[in-house]
This record gives sequence, structure tokens and C-alpha cells, in this order.
Amino acid sequence: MGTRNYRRKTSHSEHGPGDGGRTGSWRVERPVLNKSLCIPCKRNTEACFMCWLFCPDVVISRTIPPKIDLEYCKGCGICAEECPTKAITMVDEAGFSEEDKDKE
Amino acid sequence: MHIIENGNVAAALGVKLCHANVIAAYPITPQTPLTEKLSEYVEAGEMKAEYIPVESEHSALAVCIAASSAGARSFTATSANGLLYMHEQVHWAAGARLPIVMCVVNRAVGAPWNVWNDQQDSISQRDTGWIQMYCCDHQQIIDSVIKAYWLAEKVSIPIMVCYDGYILSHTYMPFDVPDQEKVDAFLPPFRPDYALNTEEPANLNTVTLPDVRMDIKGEIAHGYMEIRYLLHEEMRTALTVAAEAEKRFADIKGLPIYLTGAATHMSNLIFAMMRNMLPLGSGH
Repeated sequence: MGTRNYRRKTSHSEHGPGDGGRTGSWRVERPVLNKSLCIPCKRNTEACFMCWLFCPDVVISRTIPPKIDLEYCKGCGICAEECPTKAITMVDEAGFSEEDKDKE
Repeated sequence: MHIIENGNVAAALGVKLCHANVIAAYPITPQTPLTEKLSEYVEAGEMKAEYIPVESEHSALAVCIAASSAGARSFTATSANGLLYMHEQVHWAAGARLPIVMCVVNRAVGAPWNVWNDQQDSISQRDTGWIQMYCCDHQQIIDSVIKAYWLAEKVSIPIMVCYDGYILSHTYMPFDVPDQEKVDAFLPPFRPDYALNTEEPANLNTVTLPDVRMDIKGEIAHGYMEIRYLLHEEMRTALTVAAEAEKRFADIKGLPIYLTGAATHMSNLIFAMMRNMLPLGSGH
């Protein structure tokens, strides 16, 4: 058994990217940000960041503009739901080409 | 010190001597006097433990699982239908490798409805991954609880200490209560490899895929099969460790091992995994 000397006896994950695998592949819908509606983008001010606050997978950055890490975003849509200006919309993944897969 | 008491009190005294930190239990005949006794010890300040009354046996073991994950020495006790009601959590405690000790005061499982003795309740839990110890008198009950904590914490496998309802739980017999200093010398404080804490947060026993995975440090971590296989291997190792527990316990009591009931005890030790009966392969 290859993992016999692993430091844990059980299933034990620590916080950080990727301990559950690259979960971006689970996504059915992709969050797409419209910068003309996004409060921090429009005002060029550190403000709002409701998407960053509510993202359960911590894949949205607290930056201008907020960046979404599509490698781990599962596409739950909570950011789109919480955005007060409806700047994030969920778009069907099938509409994106292979090259677009991990691009914002 | 030799006293004359019933089997449930023998178990309660063992738990008290082991300084259990968290006790969660739901009363069921014939286990009730055991948990009542423990609640009296806590109420009187004789035990510095958290006694958590719960609404069911399922919750009782869930509380012990959480407490043990946070590094507390945990205890629960039940009988018959109560044990079956906590069955889901019984599996969880073993898979999570938590050294919980649980007294099972053996009682028949209906039908016909019956509160008297039968061992089918704990026997039906044989394949859950717990070690089971069966006691034949009050001395073995108190000694087994103490040895069980040492063994469970050594091998990270939970243990059921089983004894017959009424026949042992409610009858009176003289037995020796080991001195606290001797038990403290035998059983060090519970120090798990990892205990839940806010400095070093972790997600325990979440969805685990069949295959190995790379953890955030880039090390190859177990998949589901590796975790189960490790439990199986260490269950087998536990037999040797149990013999060591018997020897150490005889030493602290200052008795030759044949006077501590170890021989009958070892023969009563059932390792509760059916797969143990199969030969161990050359590797997974």
C-alpha cells in the first residue's frame, strides 16, 4: 500500500487550494462578471466585495476587478445571487470553447 | 482497595479513574445505573468531566465522536436497542479512528421484548471496526475499562467493553479498585496526533474518493481503500498491543499476569472485523 507512511491515518484535509481535487470540472454554469455594473470596478474603490465574502470555495479575490479562479469554481451561483448590482451572470458552460475553458 | 459493589458501579469507577473528559449517554436498561453513577460523580465534583445529556444514543456517540476529534477522552454506554440505534455512528467512530470507549451492557434485542441478558446486541456490531472486550466478572469490568483506554489510544481504534446485563451489571461482587496513582502511571493523558483546533484547522473525514489524492503539501494522501486497509492492518496489530496492555497492567498492580485474569481475558477478546479472519495479502 503506497500511502502506508502518510502522516495521517484518516481522511484529513487542510485549508488551501486543491485539497479536494480540481473541482472546476464540476461546473455546469460559469460566473461571468460585467465590469460596467461591478461596484469596485465602476468606482475604482475597495468596496462591496459581496461575491468575495459569500463564495463558499474562496475562489473570488478581493481585488479590482474581483478575479474568479475557474480551476476550482464549482459554479454554485451564490456570487451571482448575492451581487447587489447583478453584475455576475451564470452562463451555460457548453457555450464556451475548449480554449475558453479556464479563461475568465 | 477491595469493595463490594455491582458491575455497573465497577464500570463507572473505571471511567472515573481514567479521567474521562466527556461523557454523553442516554439511559437504557440495564445500562442506566452506570450512567447515573457517572452523573453523580460529575455533579459531586469527583470527576472533572463534561456530562452531556442527549436525546438519543445516536446523539450520544455523535457527541463522543466530536469530543474525541477535539482531543477529549470520551465515554458512552448503552445496551441492546440503544446500540442498534447508534449503529451509523458506531461505524463512523471506527473509520475516523477515534479511541472512544463504550460499555455495552449486553441485553437481548427483541422480539420477544426482553430486558434480560443476551449478547446479540454487541455481536451484531462485530464488523463495524471496533475492538470488543467481553468481561466475565466485576474485576474484569473495572480493569477492562482502564486497559481499553490505553489500548484504544495506542492503536487509534474504539473499544466496546461488554458485560452481561443483570448477571454482572446488577449483581454484587467483591473486587479491587486500583489506586488512582497506579492508574495514572499506567494511562498517560490522551494526546492524539491531531486534535481539532482553530490554529490548525482541518476538514476531517469528508467525501473521500476511492483513489489516492495529492494533498496541499503535495504528498500522496490515502484514498478510501487505503484508509480501510490501514484500519484492517492495525486491527491485527492490536492483538499484540493488547498483550502488552495486559503485561503493563499486571506490572502496575504488582501481580503476576496469571492472577490478573489476563489469560481468560485474552481469550475473551474479540477483534471485531470479519475481514480479520482472512489472510493478509502481500499489499494493496
